[in-house]
Amino acid sequence: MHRRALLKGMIATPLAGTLGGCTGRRSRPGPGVVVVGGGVAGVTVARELKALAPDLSVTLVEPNERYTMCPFSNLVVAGLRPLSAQQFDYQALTRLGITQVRERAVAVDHDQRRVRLASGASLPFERLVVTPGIDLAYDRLPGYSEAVSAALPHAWQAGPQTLLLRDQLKALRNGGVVAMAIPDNPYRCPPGPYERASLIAYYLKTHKPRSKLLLLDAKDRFSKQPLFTAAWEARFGSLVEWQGRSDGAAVVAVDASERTLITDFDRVQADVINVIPPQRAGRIAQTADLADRSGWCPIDAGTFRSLRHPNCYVLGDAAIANAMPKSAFAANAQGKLAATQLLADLTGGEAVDTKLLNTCYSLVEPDYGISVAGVYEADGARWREVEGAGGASPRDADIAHRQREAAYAHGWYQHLTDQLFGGVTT
Amino acid sequence: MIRFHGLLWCGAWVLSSVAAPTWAESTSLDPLAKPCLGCHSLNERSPTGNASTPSMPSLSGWTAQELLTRLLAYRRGTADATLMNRLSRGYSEAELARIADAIGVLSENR
Repeated sequence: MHRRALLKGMIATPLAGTLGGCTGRRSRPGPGVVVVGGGVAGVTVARELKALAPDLSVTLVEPNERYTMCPFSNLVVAGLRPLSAQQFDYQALTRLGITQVRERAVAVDHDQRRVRLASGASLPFERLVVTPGIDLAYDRLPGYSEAVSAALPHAWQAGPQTLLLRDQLKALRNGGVVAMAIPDNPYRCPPGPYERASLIAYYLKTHKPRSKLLLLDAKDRFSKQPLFTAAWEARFGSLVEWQGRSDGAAVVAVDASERTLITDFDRVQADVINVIPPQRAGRIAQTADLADRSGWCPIDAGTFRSLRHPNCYVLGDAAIANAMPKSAFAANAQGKLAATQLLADLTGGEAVDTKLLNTCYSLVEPDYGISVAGVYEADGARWREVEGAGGASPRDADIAHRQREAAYAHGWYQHLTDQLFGGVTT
Repeated sequence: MIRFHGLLWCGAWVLSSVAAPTWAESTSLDPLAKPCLGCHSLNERSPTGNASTPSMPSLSGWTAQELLTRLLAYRRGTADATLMNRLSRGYSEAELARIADAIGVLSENR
């Protein structure tokens, strides 16, 4: 019923030209929607807007020619997958009639409804969707910086950093020590550090079995913890050692010249160091005044409309979506819903009230998959998890179950990237 | 309402003119059902399908009734699953029926 209300609302307004693809009307005038950031959330929302309203002007502002997917990039780190399998261009979006602007957005004039670009040019908008993903908060980890990341990679934005970490592991001697600094919540991809740890351990077990992997975590609990720790114990034994906040393992500083992570009580030297630093919403969210003091962007939960600037929408990793994790699956699901809500807003229709879901697969070994899932509803101001649903894979599952989940992980990735960057998109 | 039906007819014409479901087709879904397509394809065969790797199951060819029967079985724990049992418990039986109807209509019309 909500959808009918929305469609009727769209048709009843003077902006009904958004549906001109069906009615044969001329293109809808006006600047339409500008999407800033061509990641999972941004590409989803751009494609969904264009599909729902073919004559709506949709512009994607993204400086890079290609996007490098973070999901599955831990397989690249472990030498099990080429980086090229993570990379996609935006040609399908162009063919769909989405205007591409290969520039970086640097500021937003909310009163004039214009996005300013690095070149000095600016783009007008009726509604702005801001999907910048994360920025690494180097300032919150003394001794770490973009320059230091050239020696101690974060590899938390996929690309050259992913290859750097892979190559350092390749060059490691058998018997060497690898250390990972893992941040406190919130950060992109809650189970990601532990999948990475698993696949690094798998690489070490296979190629350099006398080596050691030390995980220094700023948390005491983490996503799928019982599943990961049981699998580590069974598959890697003493090769992997995890220490949490209560063990004094939170990394508070980095001494790059000594290849050392500094915790409250200790200094840990290692041959290869992967620093996953604290994070915040991507830069444009900060410069456009869409983030609050937490560094993330407050939104009206059900619609993804910014609580700070009502002509803007924020979704994906940059948004505060409460119980929903910062995951690619969530960004994709949010993008589809946000497009519907934005069009309702633009055309005087009613917002829909619905549920979203999330699934995060992790690989412990290439043929050993586990998952965590959740169903979410917007309960007033917050996305909250529906009780009694979701949760992690069973702890007592047999190996066939783990193999099926590993295969489904690949199926999910293939389907997601087809949806985002392919021509056929269901 | 006349224009609303006209819109639907127009949508059906667009669908009949292409071989594979397009994004435009899935966008017409009930928003409750859209997250399902985060994993599942409506194509006859998921692009991932090959002999060595079982793909994510496609929802192509399922009727609404078949979908609902399966979803309710997942929810009640009587069908084997890795994940669908956990997800289906997040929805009421009425919501699962809405999802089954939405996807079943697209699937049957192909």
